[in-house]
Amino acid sequence: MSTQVAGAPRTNPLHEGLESERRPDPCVLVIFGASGDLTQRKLVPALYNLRGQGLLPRNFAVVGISRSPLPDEDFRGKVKPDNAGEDWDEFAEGITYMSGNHGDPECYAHLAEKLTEIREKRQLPANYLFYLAVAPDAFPTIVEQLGHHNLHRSEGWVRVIFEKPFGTDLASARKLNEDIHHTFEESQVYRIDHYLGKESVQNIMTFRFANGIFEPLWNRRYVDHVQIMASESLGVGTRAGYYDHSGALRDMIQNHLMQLLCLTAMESPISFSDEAVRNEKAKVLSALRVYTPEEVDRNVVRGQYTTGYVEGEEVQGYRLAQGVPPGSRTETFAAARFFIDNWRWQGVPFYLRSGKCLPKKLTEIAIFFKPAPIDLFNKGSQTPSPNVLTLRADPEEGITLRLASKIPGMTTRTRWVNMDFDYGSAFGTPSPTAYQRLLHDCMIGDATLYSRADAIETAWEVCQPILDRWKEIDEEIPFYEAGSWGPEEADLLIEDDGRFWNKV
Amino acid sequence: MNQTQTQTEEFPLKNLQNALRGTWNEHRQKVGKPVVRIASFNLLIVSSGETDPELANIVESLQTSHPSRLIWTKLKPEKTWEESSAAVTLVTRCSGQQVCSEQIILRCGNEQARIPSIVLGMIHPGLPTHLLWWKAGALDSTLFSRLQDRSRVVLWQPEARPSNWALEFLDRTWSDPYQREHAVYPLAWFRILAMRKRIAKAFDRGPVSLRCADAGAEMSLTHRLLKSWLISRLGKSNELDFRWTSGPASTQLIIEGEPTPLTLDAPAEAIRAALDRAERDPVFAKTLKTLLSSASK
Repeated sequence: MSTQVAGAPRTNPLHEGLESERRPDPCVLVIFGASGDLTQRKLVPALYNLRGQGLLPRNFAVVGISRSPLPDEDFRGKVKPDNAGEDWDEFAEGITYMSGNHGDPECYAHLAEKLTEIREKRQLPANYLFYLAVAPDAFPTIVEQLGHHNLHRSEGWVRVIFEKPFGTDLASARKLNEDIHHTFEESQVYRIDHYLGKESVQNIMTFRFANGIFEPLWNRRYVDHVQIMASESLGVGTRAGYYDHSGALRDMIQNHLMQLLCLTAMESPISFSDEAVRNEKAKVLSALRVYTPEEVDRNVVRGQYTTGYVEGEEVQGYRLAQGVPPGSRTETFAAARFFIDNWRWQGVPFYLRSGKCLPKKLTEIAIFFKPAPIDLFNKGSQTPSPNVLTLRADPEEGITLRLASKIPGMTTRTRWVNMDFDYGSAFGTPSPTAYQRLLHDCMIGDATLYSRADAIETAWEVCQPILDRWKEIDEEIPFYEAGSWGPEEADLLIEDDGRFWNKV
Repeated sequence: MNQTQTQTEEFPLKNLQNALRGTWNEHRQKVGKPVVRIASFNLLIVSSGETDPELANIVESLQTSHPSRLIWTKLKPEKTWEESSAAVTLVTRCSGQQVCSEQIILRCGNEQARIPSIVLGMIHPGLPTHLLWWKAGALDSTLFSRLQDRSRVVLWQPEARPSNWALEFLDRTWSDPYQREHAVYPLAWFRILAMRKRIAKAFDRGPVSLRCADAGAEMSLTHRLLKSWLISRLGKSNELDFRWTSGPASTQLIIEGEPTPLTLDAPAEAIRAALDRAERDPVFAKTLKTLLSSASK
């Protein structure tokens, strides 16, 4: 049996029937901002776990860059994960550190030398992954310097990951994309949104496109409305300095919740290639209705938490938090009603809600189906539809379908019951962390779970009129007590439509 | 993982359904909250005798990773039917609110025709059913026939090196036109999964050389399957250099002159892989045909 034709790529019949194991090429990961929390809490543990699963090549290397001078040994000690075992020392051999200021060209000349040295020592090809775990205002400088020092291309591959936020408004996001594209091709750029790395968020696509029974129902004919919520019980904590310039709309809705909306509303991609999936998500974003200032007033609500109790503990109001200006009007809560103007979703409201200091931490998508045409069992009463499909991403990943069921006895009265699927229980094997998945994907060149330039800009196009309108309104922001589900205006937003927020 | 066993009790076989229901009720009362079943399939296990520590460990690890209604029949040929007994155990998580495994252990006397009437009666009807036939005797038994007929994936772990007759029997199950969703595998097929992946990856780069020790009856089926798989995929290719060697039972992949040892997957790992796939693998069917055709020469 011939297995190879001259000039053609080698075909390998041994792979048939075997699950393809996506193992990255050997590479060097360069982390800018390596002394930060993210490297220690997320990145290095993710890499270490990947290696434990045999998904990283043994000669893989990490270079951490930050301003503070630190010997390699100290850096390794600092980033050592809690679960480090006997193989840590071998893994840590590949971790080095260099101090440098990302604005200083010398830093990049030094980096280029260091990369050559590491490659020779560890026999690595010229594959580089730059991870920018720094403040967004440093992105353009780093990108420019990498280009100046010819580190943006190599004989292998070069990729670059940008931590969020990607821009603070439409203009800054466009400018950032432009700056990046002066040096890097879009195919080299990976804009991370760790929400998309969560197993349960990826499961939304599997749930929708691997189960044919839902597709006929997944449209304006059967869906009454959709609620997407990401609530946090914590306040701003030590992030007040950053958060006061951001707010709930920028911090959560423009990126995380928009991504969840895309996964819920997108058409089936023609394949699960990164471009096919990202094309479908981009189509959803471009079909989102962009509001006029008057429409913003009618469809979007903001709020800020005041002193109250969360999980039994007293929480000081936002304006009392350290680093927050006394009269700050930054929203710690936002709720919006969006419409997707396409064939499938015309007229179906998508309610998005996110906030801090809410009663509990929760991320979920709830699809509310229309009621049966006639309610035979509760005559004379206006009962809402029992059928709600809830896809939970956090904290307990799972899916719940709510149904009406007959109450046992001689009457025909009904009661709501839940059919529950708990992700963690049904699959006893632990899920990889979001950063494990996303780092691995980037190393194998799969950008499906990363945001593309056009999608980022389109999401900003939808959010920009809201930011503009809020900026021009000269009135006090609505308040809500910490530990409540947001300001009264948020309830009115949905109740005016004859609907209610999902009781969680 | 939080696991508690709520009840282990023996009772006559005919009361088994009631006993299971009673165990659930008792457990519900104890927890005081709604309790949900999170099983995703029925797993029938048939083994011979009472103690097999290896199988006991496998079952323990499976019940946490693969929630199921597990019906484990321990064949006791020395006992009469009247001496048969059963036990029901619920293995739970989340403070008892989730039942991830309902273990029904049957210790059955030597009346193979009666056992399926108990086992099949206890199957949860809404879930797919898989069978693990663990060193439980010949495949042409009534018990195997009745249970495999109801099962989607059947895993067979023979007591010793299987005869050609047994492999031909296996092959016939794959050719049955009325069993298109049905897949009967020797567990050995899944124990060489990691080996196959390593070899396939090595073959991406060029010809492969493999050395297999033909020692030890237990290893033989895995090695024979491995060789047959390579031949069925590559034919008599000059890119494949497969040789039997004498010496300790090991398999080595030679890459650029350097031998790399290949190890079999653990049985529990192999079972997990089979249950996760739960589908017919045409590559196995071809491999089996190749193995049988080489055996007949």
